[in-house]
Amino acid sequence: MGTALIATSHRRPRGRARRSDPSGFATDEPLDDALDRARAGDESGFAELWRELHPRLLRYLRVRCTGNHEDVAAETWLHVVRDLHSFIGNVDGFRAWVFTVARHRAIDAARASAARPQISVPDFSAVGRQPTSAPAESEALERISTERALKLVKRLPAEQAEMVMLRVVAGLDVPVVADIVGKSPGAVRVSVHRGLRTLSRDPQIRSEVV
Amino acid sequence: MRRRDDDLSPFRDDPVFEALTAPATETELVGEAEAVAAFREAMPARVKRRSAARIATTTTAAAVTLAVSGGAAAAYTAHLPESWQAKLHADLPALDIPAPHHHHHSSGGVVAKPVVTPHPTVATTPTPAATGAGSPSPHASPSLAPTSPLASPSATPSLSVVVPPPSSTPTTSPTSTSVSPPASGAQLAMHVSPGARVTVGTQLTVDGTLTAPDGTAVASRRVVLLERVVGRRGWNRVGAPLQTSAAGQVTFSVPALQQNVRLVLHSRHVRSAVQKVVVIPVIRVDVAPTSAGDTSTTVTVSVAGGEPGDVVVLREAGTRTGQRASLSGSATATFTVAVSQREVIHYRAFVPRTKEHASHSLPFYVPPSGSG
Repeated sequence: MGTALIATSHRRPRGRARRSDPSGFATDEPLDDALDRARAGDESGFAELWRELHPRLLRYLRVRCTGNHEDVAAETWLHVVRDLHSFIGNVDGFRAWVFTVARHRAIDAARASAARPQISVPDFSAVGRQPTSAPAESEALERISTERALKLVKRLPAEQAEMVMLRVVAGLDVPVVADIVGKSPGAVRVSVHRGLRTLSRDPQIRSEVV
Repeated sequence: MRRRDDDLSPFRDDPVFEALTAPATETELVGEAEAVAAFREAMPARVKRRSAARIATTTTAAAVTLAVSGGAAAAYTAHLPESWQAKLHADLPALDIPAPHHHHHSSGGVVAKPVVTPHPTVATTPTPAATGAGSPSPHASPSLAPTSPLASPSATPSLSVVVPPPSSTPTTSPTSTSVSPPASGAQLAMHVSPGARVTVGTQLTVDGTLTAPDGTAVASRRVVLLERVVGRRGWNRVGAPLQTSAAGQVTFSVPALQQNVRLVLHSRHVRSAVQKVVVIPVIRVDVAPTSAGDTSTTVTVSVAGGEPGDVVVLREAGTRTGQRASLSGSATATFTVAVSQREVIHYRAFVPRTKEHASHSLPFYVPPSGSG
């Protein structure tokens, strides 16, 4: 016949609500109910989703963004709230959607930044606005440790760093990460492993973080 | 065999892993009120009304008024953080929210930055991206037999949606028999299986359940299923109307889907929520056999569910660039790709989403020259 079939499309089963988050975030509660309520317009449902995903989003964007990650996060949430009522899927799909939007916003922001260079000045607005509700000492230690870890991840090759963040921090499954970054699941798995191994084996890094 | 996603377990005790996944700090949770305010403003009026009605059952009307208007008041008086104020001003012009005062930037130290609302080159839709395309099978070979394009209709979850009927607004639903219409507050629930994302050619089953305000089933009511497809005006009936059973149920069959469709069930004075069903195209890749010494070969991509003119992108694994081609009248696109003398080269064929179908991609590889 002159041609030979290599493969046909196949999609993995979907729709199973994950009950164990691959990441180690403390909150691991089923959010399907919150998602349903948010879709119906319930603010408390949306707030639950935001509290679960926003910290992850900020950490991901710190590594992914070249500009102001908080602006990109705000744009992401604006996009999400605008289209949430028409979202179809479970909380796993929602999580993947949020990070896909964030990734595209980050790409747009990088392009806009390259096209219109801006001058930075010190941010005086943040002076005196630090939250004080959490124990100051433990929070400072935690923040330093996490921020240091994010900087270390950023040293990895860009694609590898992004895959590590999507897999570890965002808590997305390997096939979902593969879909977002346009790689095969195998490539994602290998890249994330190598990235984490690089981070864990470097004695300097270990001493810096601990 | 599908591998479990437990590949992170060796790293969980690592300091870097622990730091990355540490609980959220208070600093990271700053901005919740602004996000909720944006959520409040962005929800469609229909959903807002529904939400407000539910809240009103447990709170006073005054409290509802205050809750619903609070974020708007903050936005109108420009008391939201600057980044949110700017984005609400730019993205929700209908609300007439004022622009922020550009005294300073909220956190990044950017002066008088004009509000831009860039759009991604790859559109982001509220479609869960959690469906990874299959990876190249390790045993895939040029002689692999094709699988049925309808092999995975059950791969998507079923959905149930319910919308209360509009309050006392007459509908244009067909007039019914002498059976008295259900009182205001009846619900018509729709359940679409196998789900809201299906492979092209999948037949749908739509189950409807009509219940009275007290939750009891409404029997002998006429229900119609309406569909709306791209390129055709208005809603069109699917099949013949059905009467609800003693359990208040009806079941419709939708013929094999070839493109995205919106479905809604209608009965007198009540309708279900509109359910969009997205069709996933089926991609087939054929690689022409090569002889020893060949440096290129022809790859033919055929897309079941694709329309002539739809774009197909062929990208080598690990690269950002690729070839683009449009589907011909026979829904195929042809590419010329390089062939290695010794190595397998991995590619991915990608079909972007259109109004007719969802996006989809298919990894495949080109064997070394002369291997088949």
